This record gives sequence, C-alpha cells and structure tokens, in this order.
Amino acid sequence: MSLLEVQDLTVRFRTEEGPVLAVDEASFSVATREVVALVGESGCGKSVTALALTDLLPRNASVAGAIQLNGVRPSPRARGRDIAYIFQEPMTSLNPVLTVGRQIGEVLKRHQGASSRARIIELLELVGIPLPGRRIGEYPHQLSGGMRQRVMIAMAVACRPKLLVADEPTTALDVTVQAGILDVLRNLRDEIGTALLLITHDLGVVADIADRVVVMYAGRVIEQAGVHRLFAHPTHPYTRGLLDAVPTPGRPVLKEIPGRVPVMRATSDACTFADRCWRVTEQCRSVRPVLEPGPAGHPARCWHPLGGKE
Amino acid sequence: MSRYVLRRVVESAVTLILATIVVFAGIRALPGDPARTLAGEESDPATLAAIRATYGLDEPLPVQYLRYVQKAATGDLGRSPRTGLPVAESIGHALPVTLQLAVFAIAIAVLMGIGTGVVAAVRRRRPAEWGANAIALLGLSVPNFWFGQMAILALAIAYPLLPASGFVSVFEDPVESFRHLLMPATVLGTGLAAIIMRQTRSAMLDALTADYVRTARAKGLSSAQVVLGHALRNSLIVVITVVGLQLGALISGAVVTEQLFVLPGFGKLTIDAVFTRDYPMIQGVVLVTATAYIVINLVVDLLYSVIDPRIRVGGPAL
Ligand SMILES: Nc1ncnc2c1ncn2[C@@H]1O[C@H](COP(=O)(O)OP(=O)(O)OP(=O)(O)O)[C@@H](O)[C@H]1O
Ligand code: SF4
Ligand SMILES: [Mg+2]
Repeated sequence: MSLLEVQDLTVRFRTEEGPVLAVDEASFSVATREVVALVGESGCGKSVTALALTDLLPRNASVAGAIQLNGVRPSPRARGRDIAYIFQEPMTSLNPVLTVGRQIGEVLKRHQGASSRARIIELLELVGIPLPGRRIGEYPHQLSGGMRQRVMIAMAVACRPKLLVADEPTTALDVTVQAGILDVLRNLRDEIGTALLLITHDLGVVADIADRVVVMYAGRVIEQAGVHRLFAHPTHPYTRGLLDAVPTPGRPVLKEIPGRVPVMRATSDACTFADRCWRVTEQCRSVRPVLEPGPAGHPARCWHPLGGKE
Repeated sequence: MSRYVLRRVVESAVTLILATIVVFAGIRALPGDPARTLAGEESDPATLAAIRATYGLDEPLPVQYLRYVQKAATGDLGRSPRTGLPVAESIGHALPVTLQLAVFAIAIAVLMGIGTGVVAAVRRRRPAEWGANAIALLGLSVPNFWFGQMAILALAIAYPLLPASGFVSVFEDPVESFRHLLMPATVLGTGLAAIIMRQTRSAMLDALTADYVRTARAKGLSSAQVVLGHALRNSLIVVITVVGLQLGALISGAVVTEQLFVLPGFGKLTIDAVFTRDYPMIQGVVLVTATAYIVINLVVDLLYSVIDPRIRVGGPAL
C-alpha cells in the first residue's frame, strides 16, 4: 500500500481577475521510502498540489478530492510531524529574528513535547552543518544560502516525518551548493526512512535522485512512470518536449516548447496542451484525454501518444 | 554587538554636547543685556551686578560655557527669579509626574495599538477589522483636548468614577495613582495607539504572507504561535520605530493633557515658565527635554537591536 494517496485533487482560487483552476483532478501516490519527482513548467500547479496536502493554501483557495496518508486524511497536526516541507527560498523561508536553534527546537517542542540542545545539534549534524554547536545560536542572515537550506531540512526532518515535500529545494542555490543539498536529501531515506516528494523543473535532478516521476501540465497529471522508463520512453508530447529542452553535450541547440502554460479558469473538454502540441487533432480540442496506459505501458493523458505505431 | 552600542552611545554623547551649546547660546543670543533678561525688566543696578557675578557674565564666553556645563552636570541649573526656588528642584518635582503619565500612556497605546492591529490583520475583511479601523480613525482625528473634556464630563462629572484632576505618585499609592492617571493617560495615548494600530496592521499583513510564516505553519505550529511568535515578532521592529518617532508628539501632547487635567508636570512647568519669561527655568526645561529626547532615541535604537539580530550581529539586511 502506498504511503500517500492523492485522488482527484482539485484546487480553485478566487482572484480579482476571476477564478483560477490550479489543479484539475490530479491523482498520484507516493510509496513508503519512495522518491517521487513532480515536474512541469512554471505555473503547472506543482506548488499548489504540495501545499494542498496539508491544507496550507491561502484562504482564497478551495480544495476538493481525497488525500490520504497511510489511509487517513492528514490532520492539521500532521504538518511538520508526518508531512514536512522544504521550500525554494532559504533566504526568506527562515524567520530572520529567531536563532537557528530556536526555529528547530520549536518543531520538536510542538510535536514531541520537548527539545534539547543535544537533539538540535544532532539534527544539524545529520544535514551536514559544520560546527553545529556554534551554528545553533546564529541567525539566518549569518548563514550562506546552502547552510540555510540545510537548516530548513533539519527543521523538516526533526520529527522524522513519513513524507518530506521539497518544493524546488535547490533552485535558488549555486550549482556547487545544489549537489550537497541533493546528497543530504538522498541520505535521508537511508537514515530516517523518509519518502520524498520532490518538486523541480530540473530534469537532471530528477534523473539523479527520483524513483518515479509525475508530470503535470496546466493543473493535470499528464504522465507518470518510473524514472528510467520515462526518460527512455516519454509518451506524452509535453514530456517529450521537456526532455528535448534539457541541454545535452551532443545537442548544442535547445528545443524549447513554443508557447506558455495557460492559466486555466475552469475545467475544459479539451487537452490543455492542444495549443502547443505538434500532434494536435480535432479530437484533442473537443474531448478531454484520459490518463491511461500508453504504448510503453505507463499512463499518459494523450489521444496520440508517442511510441506507438506512427 | 558592543560596537553598535558603543557607536550609538558616543553619537548620543556628542548630540548632548551640541544640545548644551545650543541651550547656552540661546539665552545669550537674546537681544539686550542677558543680566537684565535674567533678572526681569525693572531691576536696579545692584541686582544686575549681582546677577552678572552669579552667572559669571563678565567672563569670556567659553569660560562661561564650561562653567555652565560644570554646574549643569552637578544638577545646578540656576534659580528661578519667579519662584525663588532652584530650577533643578522644580524640575525634579515636575518630571516624575510627566514620566509617569507618559509611561502609562505609552503602555496603553502599545497594548491597544498592537492588540487591535493584530486583530485587524488576522480578521481581515471581517467586522473585527472594520471596528479596529473605525477606532483608529477616531483616535487619529479627535483632538486630545476635546476628547479629554468629554472624558471629564462623562467619567468625572456625569458619572463620578474617576477624579478629574490632580496627581498621586505610583510610588506613594499605586491604586490612587492609577485612578488619577487613567483618564489623562488614555487621552494622551489614543493618538499613539491609533498610529501603532495602523502600523502593526500593515506590518502584520506583510508578515502573514511572508515565506517564514508559511514555514511556521508548515511546521505545524498553532495559530497563536504563528501569529504572535513569528509574524508579530517581526512586526515589532516597525512598531518600535513608530513609537520612537512619535515620542516627540507624545511629549507635546503631554503639555496639553497636563493643562486639562491640572497635573503639576513638566508640561505645566514649561508653559508657566514661557508665559512668565522665566529664563533660567526655560533654559533648564529645554536642556532636560533635549536630554530626554536623546536618551529616548538611544533606548529605542538599542531596543531595536535587541529585536532585530541583523542590526545587532551585523550582516546584510534582508
Ligand atoms: N494564492 C494564489 N491565488 C491565485 N492563484 C494562485 C495562487 N497560488 C497559485 N496560483 C495559480 O495557480 C497556478 C499554479 O501555481 P503553482 O504555484 O502551483 O505553480 P508551480 O507549478 O509551482 O510553478 P513554479 O515552478 O513557478 O513554482 C498558477 O496559475 C498560479 O498563478
Ligand atoms: S491529446 Fe492531442 S493535443 Fe494533447 S498532447 Fe496528445 S496529441 Fe497533443
Ligand atoms: Mg512552485
């Protein structure tokens, strides 16, 4: 049985410019100790999906669908205890006026009733922070970006969550620092048995660390597969487009997907990728594709999947 | 840390020295004979000579200045020709009244301002916010003297719950002191409360959408911990700045309030001194006021550094 089960998650926002359908019946799962990458371009609904898991969205959001962690809907108390988060901006995600130790201790106190200096130091060591005894009394602005992100991770794993949600944890960091953070995340599975839902648009990172990939486009899950299979046999034209846009040594010219992600106002009876797809037909514009196994055997949401008979 | 504190203390000391020069020069810059000014218009030559001798007015200015500073430092601010009492003594009686009034007023303003500001930000677009906004608007637009008179009419005359005038020190009788100061301190504090409320509200609205507040919520902290421990904690930086900037207005407000509630405070002393051209008294009052401003600013800045570690331990501001 899977650890996290998301069924038909739908998130709408009320905004001054009208409604926004950020997530449209997304379903996916994460198994115990599994690393699942959630990928897609900017605006596809990845962060919204992540925040919806524990009801962290702002008040103008309305959420429908079923979310289950080990078979039950996560309560607000599950936040930080069973499902923990790391965000993109380590600069602004830590509170500037509280010490590192205090911010980590807070989680321990909240969920385990007590925190100790020794435990906090242990956590700082776990995420590879040198001189933890000194860092514990420092403020976020005294740390580098990479160190801050490590503090965020230490805070997130303080209560040994079953699922760690990392929303673009390395995007804001220097390339040299990124690798270190990925190492820490990779080790967490072995050291504390945490499953990881990793949100990123860096497919290099995905190849590096993920077991399985869920691809989102304009609020919908459009393909999912094991990481090797997905890279070898992308079935949805959008996934193919994403892979083609990755710079590789043999191919100096990048092929960007033309156009941009639409902001959906309401659910539509069409493929949301139709306006950017080179395989589009009349059917794509009038009937909503369903997520079903494609030629390579894994599910994709496309009427004309790649890899079949052309 | 200590470097920042040291710098602020040195800056304050320099400002204080400049203030004494201004105060010293001020009385000498008045047209006419300072001795005559100090003694009053109709004085006989003997008195004038005595005053010149007392104040050393026959000596060169730098010597006079040093003498003045030396005396001021030992608490000798001269003698008022009007009351015949040492200026320092009169100030010593009046100052505690104003300090107690001001501290009480600030406490009321901070409690009311922060409380309503937080509520207005958290209960956004709900009746609680409108209520808090309405109170803030009233607090800002109603003049102190009018509000004070209404308060006296309502709470001292129509329903005699509180005394309309007089002062009792908190150190003599805390309960009576509270009763006597409650009305004037509230009247004096409402304007500041309204300003604090608005600043708290807008700082809190910013803070509540900040990434670190999302982190705090994602950690599973209770709403109270998120709002008070994280969002408000950051917003206090703004609040302290505002209180610091508004203290001047509060002190001028104290002058009016003391007149209204017949409190024998610093404001009343100042007004009496100005109206009777009691120059030694004015000089003393100005010096003490300047010193108070400098000390208050220093305290506010140091408090600032307690709340915001980025000032205390250096590094780039975020
Ligand atoms: N608070 C909000 N109010 C209104 N619309 C929102 C809100 N948050 C997100 N959206 C909209 O929801 C859609 C999905 O946003 P989301 O942040 O999940 O994208 P993302 O896939 O995480 O992109 P990125 O890679 O840029 O982080 C976007 O169209 C966005 O404008
Ligand atoms: S359904 Fe049609 S438009 Fe959509 S991705 Fe497939 S081929 Fe392209
Ligand atoms: Mg995002």
